[in-house]
Amino acid sequence: MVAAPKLKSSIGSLRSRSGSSPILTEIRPLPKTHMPLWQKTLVGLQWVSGVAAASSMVALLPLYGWLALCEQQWSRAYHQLEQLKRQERELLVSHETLRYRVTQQVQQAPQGLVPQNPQRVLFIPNQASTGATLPVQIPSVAVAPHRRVSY
Amino acid sequence: MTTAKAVATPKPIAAGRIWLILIFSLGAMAGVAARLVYLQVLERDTLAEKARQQQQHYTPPTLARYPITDRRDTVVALDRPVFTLFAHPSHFKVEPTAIAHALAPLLGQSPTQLLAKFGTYPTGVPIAYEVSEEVAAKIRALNYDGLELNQAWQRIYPQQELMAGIVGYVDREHKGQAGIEFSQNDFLQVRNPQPLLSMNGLGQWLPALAPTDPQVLTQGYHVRLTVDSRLQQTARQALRQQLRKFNAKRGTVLVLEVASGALRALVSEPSYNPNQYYRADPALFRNWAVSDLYEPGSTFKPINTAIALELNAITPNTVLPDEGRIMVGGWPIQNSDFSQRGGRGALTISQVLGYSSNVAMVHMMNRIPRRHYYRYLHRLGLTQKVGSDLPFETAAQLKPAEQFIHYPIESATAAFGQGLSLTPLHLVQLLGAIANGGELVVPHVIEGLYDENGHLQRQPRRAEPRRVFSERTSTEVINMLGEVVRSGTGKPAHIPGYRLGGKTGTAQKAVGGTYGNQRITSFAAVFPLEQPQYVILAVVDEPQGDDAYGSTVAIPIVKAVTESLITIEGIPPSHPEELRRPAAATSVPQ
Repeated sequence: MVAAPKLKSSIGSLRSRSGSSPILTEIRPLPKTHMPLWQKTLVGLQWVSGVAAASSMVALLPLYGWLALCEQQWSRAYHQLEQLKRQERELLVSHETLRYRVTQQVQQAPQGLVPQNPQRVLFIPNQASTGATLPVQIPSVAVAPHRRVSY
Repeated sequence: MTTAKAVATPKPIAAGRIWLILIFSLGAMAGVAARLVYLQVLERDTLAEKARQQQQHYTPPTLARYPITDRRDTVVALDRPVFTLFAHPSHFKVEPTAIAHALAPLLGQSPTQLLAKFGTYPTGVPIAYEVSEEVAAKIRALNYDGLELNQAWQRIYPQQELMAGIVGYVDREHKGQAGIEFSQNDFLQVRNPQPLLSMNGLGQWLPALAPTDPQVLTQGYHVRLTVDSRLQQTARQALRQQLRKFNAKRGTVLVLEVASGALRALVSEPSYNPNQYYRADPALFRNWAVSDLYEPGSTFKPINTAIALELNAITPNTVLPDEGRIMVGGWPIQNSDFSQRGGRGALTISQVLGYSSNVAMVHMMNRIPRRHYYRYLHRLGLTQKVGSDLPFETAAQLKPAEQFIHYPIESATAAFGQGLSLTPLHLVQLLGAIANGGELVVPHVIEGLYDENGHLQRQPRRAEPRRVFSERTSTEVINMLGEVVRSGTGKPAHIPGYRLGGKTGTAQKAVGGTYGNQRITSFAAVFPLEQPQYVILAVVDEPQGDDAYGSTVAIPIVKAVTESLITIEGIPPSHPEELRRPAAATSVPQ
């Protein structure tokens, strides 16, 4: 055992002004507790888990912030989805109403539009099935402006 | 300086006080623990329920009934949420004038009008009806106390009169009252509820409960019809043209796909606008093609021929006498053209159909014992309903069995399609049975419930097809129908390059037990002749004029519809050589 260092004590220093010799107080370090291995492991584990707990608490905060951010983004995106679906419904209704109105208008006044009929359709025979390469050309009939349009 | 007092050694705290503090803190901890146990264990369910009620809500529905589309996904009926705006002026936290000015541009009413309304009652003042979603969202964004938006449903029918006979309409309570809206009311109700999501305190949706697949959030289910609106449009136009020309009372066109029984077009004129059903004549809410009986006349002859062939009473080569006019059981029966042509003598079966000879048909059906004939008619389903998905069907009417079997005049008139009555839908079903090789299919307009990717989700239940004729009989009858168009009364129906079969019908209408002057004209076609895919029937009720016959009134309609079918379905010509000949489009090739 090392000899305890002797230090001057503050009380002793007061007294020293009176001229007597300094009183040295022996300061002994705390005895090192001798821990068995299991106890040392436990303490070591406690230290490690303490560090882990502290660091995970520190890491948790930005993660939680990220979660809140994701939720907010999702919420905004869902709101946008609802708006888009609403717009889609409106567009669908106007599109179909417009289709009907255009059909009505064309029926009243064809404006040069002609109805589809077999005389104006081209059928091209399949090359593999028949040997013929000539397409069947149906002679076009002159446009009759009073004919109504079929949609 | 006095020496420092020795540091007084602290008096030991009375042991009793430490114990007191210890007991107190232990008691507090026990109290907290007890509260914890109480809340977490005993009140768990009620608290969880409260939280769930506060946080989790169903997203607001955007559909009450599935949208209905035609075969090509053209929208025929669509739900729209509409809102009714109520004001509770007693709850206004802001000046009413400010609210009035904020609402005026959104609602299209002047601020003075709104202020007047605010002044009427303290609560429950209706301000605007049928407010659209966009405007409602804007009103909600204003965030004024005392304004309330109630959601209701509006069903929009963009095609208006075109599909009214098939689809029908819904009333103010959003319940179907006509058409498939009525007959398939339950099938059309939206089943799966809106997704349950959790909401935070600010009213924003949270992803906690949301499904991971975003497609689940979109409601793409729709009911698809078998009807093609292009074909429907052409058929309606052609029908209306003839109705106007002959000043007829009403008319109908049906196009049946014979293999499946799907109705590609079902037009009834006159029609109504389902968006304004309250303005329509209520008699129109029953589609007369499905509900009203009529005596088919000559269009029933192919069916009788099929029965006779099936029962081996005749063969395709049989020759029958046509005297022009005969007496049956004391009643005279004559051909429609007896006064001009008299009797024609011996006719083959094809010629019987081609000339539409009533007398020869009587001879034909006379070869079958009357009870076998009656039984076969019964087997064809002539006393039951068709069983389609359209509402208000009427079963065909035959004379009672004893009367039919006992009196020869009954089977004689049935031989040329009078004395029995059925709906146009029923007739098209029977002709379809001949056209598709002998199977009686159920005509239907609903194909099924599909999702947005086109996958079938649900189908309404339908009866299975059943065999009523043999294939051989059907082929023979179809050939004879082809002869009718080639050289008989169906000649005007010929389309260059194609072959179709058909039968005209001009029947006298029975009014009050006797036959009057009014007629009901029809033409039924089977197209294409080589391998029939479609049966097209046009019936025009009470055309006026001396030239009003099935061939003049109904054939042009069927011809226009068939031409439209050719272009829509892309059916290539079976005889393209007819088309290479220049300027020969109107002559019938030999």
